[in-house]
This record gives sequence, C-alpha cells and structure tokens, in this order.
Amino acid sequence: MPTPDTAAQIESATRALDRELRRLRISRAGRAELVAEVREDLRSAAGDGLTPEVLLGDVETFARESVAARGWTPRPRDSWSGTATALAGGAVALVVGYLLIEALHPLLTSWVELDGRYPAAGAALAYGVLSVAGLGGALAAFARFLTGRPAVRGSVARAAVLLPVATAGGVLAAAGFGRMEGYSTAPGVVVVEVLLVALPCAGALWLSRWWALRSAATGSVRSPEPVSAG
Amino acid sequence: MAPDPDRRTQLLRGVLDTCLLALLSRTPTHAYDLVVLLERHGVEGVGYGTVYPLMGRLRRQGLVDEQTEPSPSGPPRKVFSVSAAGHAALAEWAQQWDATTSSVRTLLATTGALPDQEVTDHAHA
Repeated sequence: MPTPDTAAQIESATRALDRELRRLRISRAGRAELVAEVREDLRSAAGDGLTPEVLLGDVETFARESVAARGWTPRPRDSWSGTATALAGGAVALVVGYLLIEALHPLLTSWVELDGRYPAAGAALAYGVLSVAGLGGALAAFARFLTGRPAVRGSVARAAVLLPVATAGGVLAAAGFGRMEGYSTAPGVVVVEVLLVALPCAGALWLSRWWALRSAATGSVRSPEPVSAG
Repeated sequence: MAPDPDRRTQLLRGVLDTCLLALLSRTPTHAYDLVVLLERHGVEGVGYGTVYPLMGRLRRQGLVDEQTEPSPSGPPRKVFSVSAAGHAALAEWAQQWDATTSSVRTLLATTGALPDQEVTDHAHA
C-alpha cells in the first residue's frame, strides 16, 4: 500500500502524464485509459519501494513513446497556421493569375481572331482561370505546410471539397453585397467583400484540418491494425 | 574492458518483444510485473519506460489481449495475455532467435572469439 507521500507523488506523476498527453492532443478516452493503467503500475511499483520518477523517467519522453507505440496520432495545434498559410498561398496565386491574364490578354487578342461575338466568354474565362489559380494555390500551400504532419491526405482531401463550396458561397455573398452598394470601389466596401470571401474559405480550411485530425485520432484509438505473426 | 550498457540495450531491443510474449504466455500479468519478471530471469536494466510502450505496440499489433480483473488493493486493473496471433508470433520469433544465436555462436567459436570446443569441432566436421 503506498504511503501518503508516495500516493501524492503518484498523483503528481499521473497529472504530469495527463498534461503531456493533452499537449499531444490525445482524446479524453485515450488519456483516461493510459493514465489509469500507469497509475496502477505506479502503485504496484511503490510497494517495491520505487518512486514514479524512477519508473517513468522523463514523463514527456514516456508519453511520446507510449503514444507512438499505440499508433495514436498526436493532434498538433496547426489548424489556424495551416489556414493562414493556405489563404496566403491562394492570394499569391490569385495575384499571379491576374498578372498572367493581364499579360496574355493583348497577346491572345492580337494572335487569335474569332468569328462572331462572344461577349461573356472573355470574362468567364478570366474568372475561371482566377478561381482555379486561387483554389489551386491555396490547396498547394495547405498541402506543403502540412507535409510531414499527421493526417495530411485527409486534410487536403476535405479541403479540396469544402474550399470550392466555401469560395462559391463567399463570392456570391460578396457579389450580392457589391450589388447592394452599387458596385462601389470605396475601400470599406472592398474590404467587406474580401472578408466575405476570405472568412468562409478560412472556415473551410480550419474545418478540414480539425475534421481530419479528429478522424485520424478516433480511428487509431478504435481500430488497431492487426499484423500477421510473420 | 567494462561491459557497455548501451550495446547490451541495443542487443536486447530486437528480442524484447519475444521475451515479453514468452513471459505472458506463461503468466498473464500487467506491465510493471513484466519488468520484475524480466529482472528475475536475468534480463536486467530494462525499465518500465521501455516495457510499457512496447506493450502498447504488441496490443496494437493484436499479439496481446487484455482483460480487466479485480485487484485486492485498488480498482480493477488490466491484465495482459498472449492472443492466438501472439502465440504464433512467439513460436516463429523464438525459432528465429534460436537459429540466429546458434549461427552467431558457431561463427564466434569458429573464429576463436568464443572458446567453445564442442561447437568448433562441430563446425569443422
């Protein structure tokens, strides 16, 4: 039976372990399971006169190795930084796309002459190119930022679906607002229009990352990978 | 020359899972007891910080099962035992270990690094 001093040491060590697991973003169920197991082992060891420090060594290393051995995926706090990077990548791609259109437009109109009139074709093509460039740039920046981190594929796959939907919604909202304001180019109006597009995009990117990390963590806790004996 | 503990740790690292499965196949128990049992069998210096994560890997691989049993001195606790896949793995890994150590022993004896007349004679025969 542990003495009161040893019991306090055990509680202190298990709290430190729980903190480390929380820092690694391990689910509540996973943390509770691991900490309960270790607490019982610490009590057994206390009966042999061993302190938690002797048994666990460095708690941070112990937590990291235990998590890795179980195949649990740590959930890093990178949803916002990944979102910011993706938005910056999308913005850069939009600017580059716009400059390319500006540069190519005179060349294309001087080289190619089409019969008939296509009043909407030029604008549709420009908006299409800009949309593809912006979305592609954002997804590429998102994927590059996440390289080497957990749940990269799930995050990018979800973003590839959610981001175009959010962009479309944002653009429609911005267009509606612009129309309401008489297509004014006043700085205040433009800022609101940019925010109406950027905020849904940010939300979609954040949600993609959060959702993928959550799925990876839940999946790794619930479904261990069986291996063959060989 | 004094024995190098790091080298011993490295040698043990590859076979520790086999040792844990072997101990559990005889006595289902929990992680801390495995550390004690390893020491009793002369495999010293392997800490709980190594054994507990390794048990996590064995569980993930489906080689170890867990049951919750009542404890006389506290709340119910998990006891590990070897699964059917674990028994198959243990048989294969033990055989691999035997073949590997036998080959290395023969090599060391043949080259004179290890004095073992019987093995040397056998190798020359």
